[in-house]
Amino acid sequence: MADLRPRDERGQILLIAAFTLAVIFVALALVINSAIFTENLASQGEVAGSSEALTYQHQVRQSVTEAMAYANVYDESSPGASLGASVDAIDGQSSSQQARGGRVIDVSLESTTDGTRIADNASGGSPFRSSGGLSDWNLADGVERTRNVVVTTRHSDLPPSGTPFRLRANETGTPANVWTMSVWEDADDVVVRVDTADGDDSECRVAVAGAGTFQIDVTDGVVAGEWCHALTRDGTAGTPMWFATGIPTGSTYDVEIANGDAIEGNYSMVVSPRGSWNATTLTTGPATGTPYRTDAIYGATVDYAFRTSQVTYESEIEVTPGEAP
Amino acid sequence: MSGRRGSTDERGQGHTLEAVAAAFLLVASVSFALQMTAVTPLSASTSSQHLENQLRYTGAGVMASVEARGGLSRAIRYWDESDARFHDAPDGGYYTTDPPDNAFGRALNRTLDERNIAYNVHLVYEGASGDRARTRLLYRGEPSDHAVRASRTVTIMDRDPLIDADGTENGTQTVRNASTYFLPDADTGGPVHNVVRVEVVAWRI
Amino acid sequence: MREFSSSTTVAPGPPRPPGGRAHTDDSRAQTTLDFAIGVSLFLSVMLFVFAFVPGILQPFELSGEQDTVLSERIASDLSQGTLGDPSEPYVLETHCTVAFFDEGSPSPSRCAFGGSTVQDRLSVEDHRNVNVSLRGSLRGADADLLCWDATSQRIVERGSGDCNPDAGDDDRLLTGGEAPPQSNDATVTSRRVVSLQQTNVTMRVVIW
Repeated sequence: MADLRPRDERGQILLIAAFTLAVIFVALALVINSAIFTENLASQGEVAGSSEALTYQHQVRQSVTEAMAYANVYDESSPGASLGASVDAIDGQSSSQQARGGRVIDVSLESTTDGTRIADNASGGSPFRSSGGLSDWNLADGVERTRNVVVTTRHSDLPPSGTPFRLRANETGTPANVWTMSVWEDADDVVVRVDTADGDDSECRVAVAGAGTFQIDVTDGVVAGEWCHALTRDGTAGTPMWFATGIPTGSTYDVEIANGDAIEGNYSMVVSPRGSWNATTLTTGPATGTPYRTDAIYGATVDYAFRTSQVTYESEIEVTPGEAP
Repeated sequence: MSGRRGSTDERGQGHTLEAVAAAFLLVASVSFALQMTAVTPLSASTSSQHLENQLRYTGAGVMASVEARGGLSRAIRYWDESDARFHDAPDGGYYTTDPPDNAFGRALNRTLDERNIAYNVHLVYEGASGDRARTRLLYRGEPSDHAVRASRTVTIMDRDPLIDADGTENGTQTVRNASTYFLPDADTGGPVHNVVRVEVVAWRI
Repeated sequence: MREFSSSTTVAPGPPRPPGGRAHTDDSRAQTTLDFAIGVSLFLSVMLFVFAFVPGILQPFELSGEQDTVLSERIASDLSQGTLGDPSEPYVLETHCTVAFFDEGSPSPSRCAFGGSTVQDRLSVEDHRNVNVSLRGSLRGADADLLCWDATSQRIVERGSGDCNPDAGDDDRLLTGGEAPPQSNDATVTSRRVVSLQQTNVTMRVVIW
């Protein structure tokens, strides 16, 4: 009979099998762990923080916009210095706040573009006449860029549809190339009609209730808090209707008011270059009468740097608030 | 032979012990592997990563869309000078159950309250002595463990007017000359009043 | 006379007491009781383990795992750049948004997307189903699907009287892609809050 292997030479096969399986399960745990980690990273959304850099850039732009508006309105004798001081303060405060979150922010003013602010802010509103009393007059000649054109008025102070108030951007030397905005009231609505220099026209109606003031933000395209297609883009095709559309780039234009007697209220705009204001129709400052012009900043270039342990982002921010695209 | 004595039948306990040890080893390794995998980041639960992402982006989106119309700055200036607190705020000085009656409060109510999301709003700014100060604008309780935070920075200038209870700008009181306003002037020589960071902490209940 | 157990036909004698010669256990043909207990315990544990371990992998077998990541990415892209200006996140531009939901027409060249269906514009493969919709509560009531009213060129709610997408003018519901299944299981939704025409709207991206 064959000599069967004695049992004690069997060795610890059970234990060896158990060890092998245990090692396999530990390796499985390792693989699963890495799968979970991958899932965690994939589902976390923005990990590196590059969208944070852009979001904060937008906030810096808004802060500098506020500072620029303040400098133009309240520090009109030296808006550049005021804006510089504001940007320094914004830089200091933002840095100390963001440093607590592990981010280094650096904001500095690099350069500014000079402009002129033309405004009429007589309290209670006044007709849009020139300083000499004309109803049809030029605000500025030879303007290259305009921003932040805002008209504040009341429903009751608007003219009827027969004699609308018109604001025009007329190409210098080519009277046929003109962008016109006409405003009038029709029952409960305020009607804004725009004819561009390209030949497109559009009209938008906004219902304005009550006797209070409302704003027509011409360059942003907002009338009484509602988006107006006649000032931005019209129709399904999105035809551009922005301020001074149709005037070829590179040409200058004149900003004119027609029928200014018919409307009462306040307005304000900033034009560039600085010397383009019309000396015969505007006074030189709020103290000398209305409407007036003051030195203002048209735009600023701000250097922005954003650093975290994973992202370094640097860019130049152009701040020209309210400029039509 | 007497040397063979320790084989089979006296080895019975050895086999049992070996088998028991092997079984124990297997169970221990399986339970170790199991610890790793019970819950993954995307398992369905009230605090999965996906839901936290949604909360964070919703908070950031609400603040961005309100600030596009200047609503955040107005919400910070929605201050009642005579009462030394925000308009219609209860006695603690901060809102609790009802959000403020301005564009920011309405936006928070419409997007977060409707979906059973609780939130706190904090304002972080530079205090009078140069340190960091924190004020509650709205407080609904201690956030849970999986709360998320979205923040946005707003600059307040010296001559920004306070906002009345109906939303219009106050003609006389500005941020600088209002004596009870909570926000100190961090830059006394310059036009900037303070840079405020608005934080919205949101969590699901 | 000595008896040889292997070669005679005589019946084997009584079992030898323990401590006897080793080779008698080879012919015993019975396992030790202790060994039996041990091995059966081990085998049962091993069967249990083999039945249990595939359950560890169950969380990873979810078929829709990547849907979550996909819907998040689509929602982030749409709200932070594709439909608006990347330097001003969460603010949508009206005409590009309305053109995005216009399936069947080519995309305007100035908008940051291309293609003619929502699937193409999002670069989502055909075997995935996606639905993008915008909802808001413009009149203070519950949130409703939004609609573009071509006559007044304004965003209105679907339930208001001005929205007539079938009437031949260019009114359009601001929703694109397939219709999501009515029973909501197995879909993944991402939401964002964005600003469109000066109002807060909620964007929903559903993938299934």
